[in-house]
Amino acid sequence: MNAANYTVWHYRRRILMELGGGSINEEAIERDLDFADDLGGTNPKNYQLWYHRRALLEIRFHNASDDDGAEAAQRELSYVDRILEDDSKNYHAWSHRQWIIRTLDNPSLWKSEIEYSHTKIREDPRNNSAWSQRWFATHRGKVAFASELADEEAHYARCGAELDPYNESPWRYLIGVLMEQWRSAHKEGNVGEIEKVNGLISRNITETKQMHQSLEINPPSEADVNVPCVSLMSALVDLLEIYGNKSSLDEATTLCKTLIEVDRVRRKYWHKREVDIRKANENTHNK
Amino acid sequence: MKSNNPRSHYLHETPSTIAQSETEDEVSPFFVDLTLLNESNLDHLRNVGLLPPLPVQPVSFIEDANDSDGEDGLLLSDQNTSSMEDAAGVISDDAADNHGEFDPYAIRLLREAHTSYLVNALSTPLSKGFVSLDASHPWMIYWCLHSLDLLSYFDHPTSSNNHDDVLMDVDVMQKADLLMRIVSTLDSCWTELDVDFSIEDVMGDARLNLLYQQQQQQKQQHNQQSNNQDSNDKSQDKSYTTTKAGGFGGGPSQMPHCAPSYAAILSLSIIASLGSPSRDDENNIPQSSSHHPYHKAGLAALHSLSSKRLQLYAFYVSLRVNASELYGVTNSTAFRMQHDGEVDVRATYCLLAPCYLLGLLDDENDNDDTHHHNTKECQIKKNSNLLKVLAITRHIASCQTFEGGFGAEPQNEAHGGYTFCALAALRILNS
Repeated sequence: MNAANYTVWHYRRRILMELGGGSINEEAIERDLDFADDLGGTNPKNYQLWYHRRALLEIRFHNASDDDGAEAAQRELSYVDRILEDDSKNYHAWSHRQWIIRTLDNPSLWKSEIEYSHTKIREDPRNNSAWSQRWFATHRGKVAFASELADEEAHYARCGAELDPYNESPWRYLIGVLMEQWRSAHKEGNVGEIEKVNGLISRNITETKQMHQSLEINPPSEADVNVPCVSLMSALVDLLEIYGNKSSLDEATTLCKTLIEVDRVRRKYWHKREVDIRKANENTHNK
Repeated sequence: MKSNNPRSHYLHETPSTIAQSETEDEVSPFFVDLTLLNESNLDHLRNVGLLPPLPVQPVSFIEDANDSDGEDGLLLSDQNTSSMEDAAGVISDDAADNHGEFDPYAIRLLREAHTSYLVNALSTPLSKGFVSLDASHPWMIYWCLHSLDLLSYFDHPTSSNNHDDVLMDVDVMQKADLLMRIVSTLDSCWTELDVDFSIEDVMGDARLNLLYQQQQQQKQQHNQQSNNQDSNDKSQDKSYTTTKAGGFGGGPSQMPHCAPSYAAILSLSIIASLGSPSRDDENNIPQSSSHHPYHKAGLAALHSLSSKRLQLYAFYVSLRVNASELYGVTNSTAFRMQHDGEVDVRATYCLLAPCYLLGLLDDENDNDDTHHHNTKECQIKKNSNLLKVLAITRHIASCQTFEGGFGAEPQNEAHGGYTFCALAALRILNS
């Protein structure tokens, strides 16, 4: 009648706890997961249902041995997969997967989640949730990638961009990977690391420009003639800005001017970017 | 109606591009270049009220034998000023943006239609499908009340001594009555909740301390009246103490929850401010504020908020979650939406906004709650507030992703709604 009646859900859990003498036994957990599943069909975006699953599973995972826990996690991940088949971008579902994997912190679960994300990205390279999950799975909840991994992930992103440069997701992933490397190199201040990162960014600038040129010179079809690739140009602005020498910043400024014209909806944003980049250029290079 | 709308471009078809194309097909008829419409289409839109009525054209002056001063023939030739009343009496400022020139394409809000929709929602019993929103009564109220306020529904009430327009009086009375009913409905959504705090927390936080003192006094008075021996000396043995916290729920008898509390507090704040004369400086309301038609409702709302304020604080403090344990981010604090409920950045925003409105966040310079002279604990230093700005900020920051936006929990995908909550919360903390 009202699956969003959060008071009753809490009341239900209290009753289950009382009946279970302070906890909830496996049978009751299984039965209530089924119950939530029954209701979940028509309410895939109901906070209370997802939380009920989490509350029950917290007990199950807490009590389970490592093996049982991993097995239980697999079963729950299959449930979430079913939900994602229906709606590949259900925020609660993806978030639930993260909770399961984060809570168990099992190396094979982390690894299989990279696979899972890859499958979802292949099914739909424009599924931003899947790209976000890849970031989650490859980072394993820790900080920056090691530089070899960063190279691989940047390559993965570029492949996604090559498939369709008008897809925003791979570009944002690429910039994310590179920004993270840049930040950690500069945080440590190690000259070797900084040089490495500059090389990485420089290579990516070159590849991106090549992609841009081939789009303009060799558009895949008639329909694609003269359709500016905002996602690519936007990524290029970010790359040039990070790289930060005078000619890069000059180029970035010019690109921003173009974006003001071709990405009208965001023209004020591009104007601000242009101003910021010009200021940075003046500060660093006109002393 | 031909439209020339740009379509999203792609090189590789995917389920997303298909869904996008279908949506663009569906909405395409509604994206119209007004300048391409013919006059009959435009007339239709004017009749509906979406476009402004055309200003009446000046007629050529024809001599009329009876018109001795020559004035009658000249009709409304100069209506291109900023204020034009149409047949419905709606003052339109369409031309304002155009420096006095009439813009026939200036789309208008259908204020009357929206207003009656909203007033209906607040006064007509809802159909049975709405049972799915039974845990959201304060939200329904807030959505409608706030919208009506933005539509100026409550502006310009006349004083009740205006005998010139009885109908206007009835109208104002109905509005005042609506506001009173809203206050009492929201009050019926209030629930108290016993929360245990460590003695250390209670002694260290000025507001919890104050609340504790107040509740102790109430208990003692109650015990004296009923001649009971004071039985709460037992609490001195424990390392914790039980406080009666409170919050708004989605409806009567529902447990306190951040979301309906947010909606209720913001609604009560609107009514409290509607009832204060400084807001209505255009109508020369007399000095005594009690003549203001919304004064009674405003006072009731204000009383509701001030009597619940400290209990709300206790409730919010009790929702704190050690985010270091949950997410591995050292020294960070997140919040649950309710006891035995989900943790996400909505909760942080939903409680910080009311805290800001109710003066529950510590200002370096002024903290009324520490000046309460009943307690010798007013010597407690400021910044003993249990809502720690830095720890909360750290948690919010940890929700930012590689895309730049914020997710519900750390590592979750960046999402517009949660980004709003995160940024708004940071803004509140920063002030």
